[in-house]
Amino acid sequence: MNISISSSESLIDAKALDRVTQAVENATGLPNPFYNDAGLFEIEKQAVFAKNWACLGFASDVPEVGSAKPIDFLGQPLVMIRDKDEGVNVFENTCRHRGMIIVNEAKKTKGILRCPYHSWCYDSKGKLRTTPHVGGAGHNTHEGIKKDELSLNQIRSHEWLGLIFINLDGQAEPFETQHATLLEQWAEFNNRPLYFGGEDSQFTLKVNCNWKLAVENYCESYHLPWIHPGLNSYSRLEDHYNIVEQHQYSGQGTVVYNPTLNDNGLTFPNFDGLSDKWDTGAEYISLFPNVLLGVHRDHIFAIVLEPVTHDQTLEHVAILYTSPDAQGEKFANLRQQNTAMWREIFEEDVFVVEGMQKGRNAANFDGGKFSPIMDPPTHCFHEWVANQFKNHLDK
Amino acid sequence: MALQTDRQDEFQDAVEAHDCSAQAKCYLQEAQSMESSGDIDSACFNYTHAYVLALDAGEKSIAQTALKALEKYGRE
Ligand code: FES
Ligand SMILES: [Fe+2]
Repeated sequence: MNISISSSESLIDAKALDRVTQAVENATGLPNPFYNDAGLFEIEKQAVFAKNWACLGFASDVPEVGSAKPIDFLGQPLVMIRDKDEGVNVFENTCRHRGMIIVNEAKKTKGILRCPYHSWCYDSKGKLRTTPHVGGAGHNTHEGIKKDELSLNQIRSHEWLGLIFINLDGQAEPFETQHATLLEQWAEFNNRPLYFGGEDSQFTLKVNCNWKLAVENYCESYHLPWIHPGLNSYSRLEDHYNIVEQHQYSGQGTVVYNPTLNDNGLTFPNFDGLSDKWDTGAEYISLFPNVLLGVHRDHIFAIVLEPVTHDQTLEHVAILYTSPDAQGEKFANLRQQNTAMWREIFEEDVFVVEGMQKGRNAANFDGGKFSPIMDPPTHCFHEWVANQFKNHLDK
Repeated sequence: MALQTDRQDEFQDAVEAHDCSAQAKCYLQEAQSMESSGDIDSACFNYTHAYVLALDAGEKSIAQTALKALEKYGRE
């Protein structure tokens, strides 16, 4: 393990990272090993994911108090559980006794996680509640077993916009501090209840590419007229603007959002009290590292990128609406249309991200040249990644 | 697990149905009859199972009863 990591660390060419962090006019993209080297992906788990607020999944994955869902994230077994007081908690899904996996499948619990091996029981705050027979049959205590010291290992987590974020190393700034700019930019969407569209409003795409290519492709509008000609008919390239917030996020906005879906005149209800900007505005942001967001006056969607290997990624998509009404039967047809529309668009991107992954095997490809006008959002992301690695090497 | 014959069938059904509530009830009854016959170790074994399964099933009153008994005998 150490050997492969140190040999991969030697693949991180510090000079190449410096070329990435140049101004966009002069910069080159991240070099190939960042996309096609398995050992480098292992370093990335630490340098990029553990140190930041990575997105683990949707709050709707654990809809009710007591709902629990196991998730393997970057090879680590985790479990989310909704506590009655604390909202969603995230723990290592590993029993403090002999290390058994505690929760094997998503389920509704009564607020107790019972290990299937020797039945040690934890509550939804992670506290060890009982250790049956630990001091011999029918003796459930022992002076050597200090329950207070044997809580489930908790992962720092934060809920925002219907999403669960985690900071694995526990050292990042608070979510609200790290993402203060976006929270302000999208203040009108903060702290609103959101209503998950349900089964018909979620899907997962499996793509054969490094997770970063999905981020890069999402945050640019340059490709829209070529890859999504259907979209271009009502949302032209020139109606889009770049969003670049150095060291945090990037993306694009449109000034002509005008949803055309309707079901016999029925259209989705809008959020109450939005400013005029959102009458025809919509924004699409890649929040680094791994969640892609879209906000509109009548719905929000998120694509949570789950990196499986250095060249395989799952894109978990969910669509959230503005009122409980929109969750009901009356809107089922419209929701299905909306899901189908987004699915088609996201599927149109698959051959591109997979093609770029293949392209990364060309030995002489230097990481690519950015358009100073069209590619600043992409460069913003490359620069962010390069800086994460620089910080990691400097440690 | 051998329970008294009159509870054995009920217990077997509960196990097969993965019904933690029903299992907790069986264990509680078993514990209580052991306790009244003065076999405290066996009672506590059964109270332990009643407690754990009741916690799992959200059977608050069974859990409470079993916990009280276990505490009384210094087992929890
Ligand atoms: S490993 Fe979980 S109780 Fe033993
Ligand atoms: Fe696209």
